[in-house]
Amino acid sequence: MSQIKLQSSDGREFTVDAKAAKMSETIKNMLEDLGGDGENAIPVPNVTGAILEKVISYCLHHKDDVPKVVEEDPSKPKKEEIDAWDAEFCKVDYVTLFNIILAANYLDIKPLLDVTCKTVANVIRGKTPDEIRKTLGVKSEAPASAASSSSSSAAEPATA
Amino acid sequence: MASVADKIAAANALRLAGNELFQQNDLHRAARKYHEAILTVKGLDAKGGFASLLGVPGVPALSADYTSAINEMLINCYSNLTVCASKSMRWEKCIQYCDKIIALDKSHTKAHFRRGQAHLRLGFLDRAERDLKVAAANEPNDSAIQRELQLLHERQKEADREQKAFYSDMFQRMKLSNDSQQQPMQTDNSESQ
Repeated sequence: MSQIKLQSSDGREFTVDAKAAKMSETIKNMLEDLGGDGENAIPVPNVTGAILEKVISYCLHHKDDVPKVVEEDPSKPKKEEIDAWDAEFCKVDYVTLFNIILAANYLDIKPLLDVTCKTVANVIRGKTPDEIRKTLGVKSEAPASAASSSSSSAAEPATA
Repeated sequence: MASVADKIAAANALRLAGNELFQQNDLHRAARKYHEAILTVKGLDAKGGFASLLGVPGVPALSADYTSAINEMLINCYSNLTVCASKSMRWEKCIQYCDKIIALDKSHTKAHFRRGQAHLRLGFLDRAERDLKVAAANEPNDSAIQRELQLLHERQKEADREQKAFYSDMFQRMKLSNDSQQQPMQTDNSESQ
């Protein structure tokens, strides 16, 4: 089984190299549990075709990466360096970038989550809240944000 | 795009189909259904994430009812997957799924029980003890947990005996090699004298 099929939320089907697909911990787990029943397309119902296509291109580029064995020193701040291919990959509008982050989290693709979050961190670093809002196109609707922040803080103890 | 309620209903149908296949002992196909159910509801809850804060379209902030329904679905499906994994003695996988359950529900008795069981099978006795003690504290009268603790104690005694045997053997060897090193010294001395 060197190729597997993935189906996006809008019904698009992608045939993907199994090694690339297994960069997703979620899909890797699933394929291992199916024990060969990987013939039918795997539904990815919470990711659109456009985003899944981006995610797959990332996985194809990185499928042969050797996992880094060098542990980062936790006492030093993490480096935010991004290699050239990844930097190019992240040059998309912010809504697309955020949707890629959500997909990386959903499919559990750690290196992709890492590089997309670093990209956002680099955008935010050194900016004032107002500048961040402007850059990322966040609407500062006072009543809505107040309501959402109070509800999220109320929910915090339950999730912690 | 289907509503959150629809997705939860769809996931539930998949879960029930999985249970039916599980009853027929068709573990691979049951696992597929459970995975599909997980994929259906996972990630719908982006609450607390920046997605809802920044108003990313298509990612609505969910009400507490939905959040708990989704968590319940995920716990249920992962729980069934741990049973599938432990039935085919894939203990690492079992541990992975238990980790996911415990991340959602810290004191989940069955997840601690099954993770302890898996750790015990893999020989991680300290981790097994930690998990089984949590399970036993939650359900002191559960006979399966008590049986597993009993097994753990036997393994610990075995490991103890093996360790003692290992060290006494090592000391014996050290003594022997010391003795043999001292003897030529003595002969050396006698020759020089």
